Amino acid sequence: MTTARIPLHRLAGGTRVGVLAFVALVVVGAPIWVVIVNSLKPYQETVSPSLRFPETWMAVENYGVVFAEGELVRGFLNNAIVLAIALPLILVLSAAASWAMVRSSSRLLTPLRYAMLVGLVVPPAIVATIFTLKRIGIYGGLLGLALFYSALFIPLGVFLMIGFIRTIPRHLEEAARIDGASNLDILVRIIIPLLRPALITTTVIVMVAVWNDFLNPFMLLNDPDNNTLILSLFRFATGSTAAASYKWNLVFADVVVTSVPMIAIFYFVQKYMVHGLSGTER
Amino acid sequence: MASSTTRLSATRSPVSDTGQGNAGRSARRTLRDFTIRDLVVLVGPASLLVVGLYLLPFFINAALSLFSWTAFRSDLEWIGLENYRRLDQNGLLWPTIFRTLQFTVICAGAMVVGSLLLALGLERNTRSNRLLRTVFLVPLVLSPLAAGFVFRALLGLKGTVNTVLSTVTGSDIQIPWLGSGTLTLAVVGLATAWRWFPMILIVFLAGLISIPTDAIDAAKIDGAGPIALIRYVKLPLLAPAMTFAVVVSLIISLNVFETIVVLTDGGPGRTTEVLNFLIIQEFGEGRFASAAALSTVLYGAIFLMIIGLVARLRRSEVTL
Repeated sequence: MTTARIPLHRLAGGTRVGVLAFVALVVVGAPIWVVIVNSLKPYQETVSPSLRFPETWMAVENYGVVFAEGELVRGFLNNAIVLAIALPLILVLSAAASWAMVRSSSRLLTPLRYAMLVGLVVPPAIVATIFTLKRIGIYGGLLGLALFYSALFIPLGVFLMIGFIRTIPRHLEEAARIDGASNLDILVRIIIPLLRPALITTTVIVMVAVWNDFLNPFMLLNDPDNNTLILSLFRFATGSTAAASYKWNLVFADVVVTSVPMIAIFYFVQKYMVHGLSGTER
Repeated sequence: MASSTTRLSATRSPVSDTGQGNAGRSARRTLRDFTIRDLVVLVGPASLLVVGLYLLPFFINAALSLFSWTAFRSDLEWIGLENYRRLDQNGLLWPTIFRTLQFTVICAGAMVVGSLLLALGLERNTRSNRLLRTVFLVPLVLSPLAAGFVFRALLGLKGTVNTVLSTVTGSDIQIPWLGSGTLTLAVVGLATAWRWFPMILIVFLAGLISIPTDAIDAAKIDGAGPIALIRYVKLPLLAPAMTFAVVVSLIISLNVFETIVVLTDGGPGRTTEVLNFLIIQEFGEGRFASAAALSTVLYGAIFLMIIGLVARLRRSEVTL
């Protein structure tokens, strides 16, 4: 016991930070560095991708190829369409449902509470989802994917919003009701504005998840014109469209281009994220 | 603006309450709970989407696995357990389940152990820790597909890892990270863990933050060293976070797809063909009902696991 105490005490100071910084450098820094530095090299230098700086700089050429052949604009627009349908649905419907779930003690809501809990952790049954979407007649397009995402992320929205609604004093709603406000008025004018941190957290998590998703659009879209950004990365990198087939300089240039927007968004909203998540964690 | 007016009327409401007696009380009762019509309007649309496009497919999936449904015959014909029997006869069912379990243990184990160690190191809210936390969250923002490409470049025969090892040792090292059975399953498991561990790290950090400081101070006064503090105070109080972390990491590992498709495509041989990968492959080859049967196995496992672990959580939860 006493012998073990000495190094740990020392670890609590500068050494601990040093060890953690080293781990961060090797585990996260090195892979990211490999991506960035190899996206700037000519193809010959990336046959064996290394940590070295480029001998010849090919940044403009590599990124030029990605922008010319990577189908980025179409992918970006399709992502935007999916999010434009899914996000408002997720935010408004989750807010309405969580308000009712917090303020009502009706037994009718019990199955729904369990459904939301399951939806929070269990991934979707994708094969049967295809079957269902085909029966409804919206399989293969962006609308089907967007509605599927709405169903998938409403439980997350509810989870994040319920904690916030509990902190909203009931008096606000009661007073508004006495003043003659309808449910819709209260939801739109009182609940949703006060939910802002939870709305931001939900938006960011959904945006990042939808932007980065590969398997669901891969299964639920059946027309290359509907490809999302990550599907365009897959086509580009595995060579079913362009000359990129596992040429690391081009693959990594595409990886950088498709990842930067999410990394930027994530960086700027970090403080909201912590706030939004901790509101429910505590 | 709106909030100031509502505030005003909030302070006025008790007055009207006392003034009107019965009327006020009945008004309050209706305010407390929504009518059924209100509930339908508020909860209906969300329920419709979640039930129709998320919950219902689980049941449809189980039902589909009992029919013949392929790309070549779109009409459904009842065949009972034939899909499962055929998968078993082809030698696909049990080896895949066993492989999936191996993969899951490696991947989820690495995520939980790694994240717990990092969380204990990053617990205190100092400036350097805040910076390091941000760095460790980066993999979670990268798409799993991109993470697959990164590790394919790192782990190839001429990949970065072998290059670095060659430089360090001075000899030409060519370890087939992605081309040798058991090793490859473990390597792919670790690569998958790399993409998802920040999620588990967040769970543990949140758990550590929620430990009351009194408990820690009391243990310190009683003379607990850092190890005793972790062993006897922090870990027991982390039990709920631990259960959640284990459930989430198991589910993530069971649902791996992107890293496998990019890193090995199931190979070499079938050594990295896990359940979720096989589901997509069967579907891709037009054996839809067979894919549904495999999904049913996967979701059966996931539901059992969740029920078991939640029951355990209820028993072992430490309260102060």
